[in-house]
Amino acid sequence: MKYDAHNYDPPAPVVRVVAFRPFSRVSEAGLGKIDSGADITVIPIDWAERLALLPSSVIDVRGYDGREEEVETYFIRMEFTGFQFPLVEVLVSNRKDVLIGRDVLNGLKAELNGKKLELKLTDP
Amino acid sequence: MVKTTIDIDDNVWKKFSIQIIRKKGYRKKNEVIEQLIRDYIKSESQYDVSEVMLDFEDERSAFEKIRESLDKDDSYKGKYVAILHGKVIDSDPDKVKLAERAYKKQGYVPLFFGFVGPKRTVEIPSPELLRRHEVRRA
Repeated sequence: MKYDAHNYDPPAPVVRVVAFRPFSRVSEAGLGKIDSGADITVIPIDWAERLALLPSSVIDVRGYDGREEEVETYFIRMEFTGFQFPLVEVLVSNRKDVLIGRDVLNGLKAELNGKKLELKLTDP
Repeated sequence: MVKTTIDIDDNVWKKFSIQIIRKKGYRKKNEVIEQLIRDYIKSESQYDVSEVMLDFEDERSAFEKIRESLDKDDSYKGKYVAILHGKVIDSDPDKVKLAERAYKKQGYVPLFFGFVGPKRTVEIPSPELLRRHEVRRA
């Protein structure tokens, strides 16, 4: 897969993500950026509302500037590039794309070739 | 209050009756059926963020109230607990397994999953540059 140079500057490794309300077929789809720096996956807040997700827990989050805040977490079912994740705990944020964090990435082999702007995801 | 009659498979009704008698005692079937209907309505009804958050905060504050006693209980220490109607309904060291089990059993209804132990902080450290049009809009 090629990096997305159209929506991201610098180009970013992205995949098309589908998020489902748990135990349902109601879904939202969009871009998901591979973010190995993120401990946990993040989805757009608009998705959480349209999927009618229920908050499930609270967690303290530290951003790049060191600030911490307490936020709610949600569970979703998630699919991308043929991989299925039946229940994933996620945060919501005022953003348009998904950040796919290490909670999900650690179940896969992710190869980033920045020189060629290529991303390869496999489940060895 | 209304009285209603439904047709139900003999075996299903027998199993249900036995389970209720074992878990809750005699003359509790109506109570359980009414709660099941309430939970069904809640899970199928229109999404109201404020109502959802109120339910969530109720369950969360119930967890905070019993947190200290759970912390002293070796059967819960270091585990996640699922809270429904102010009570612990299940526990597991794995939060995802617990959530999967709890939602499958209760339906997709407001539950709170709390950890009996120290709070965890997660990091989302990736800074993102806004593009020009995004800066203008912000």
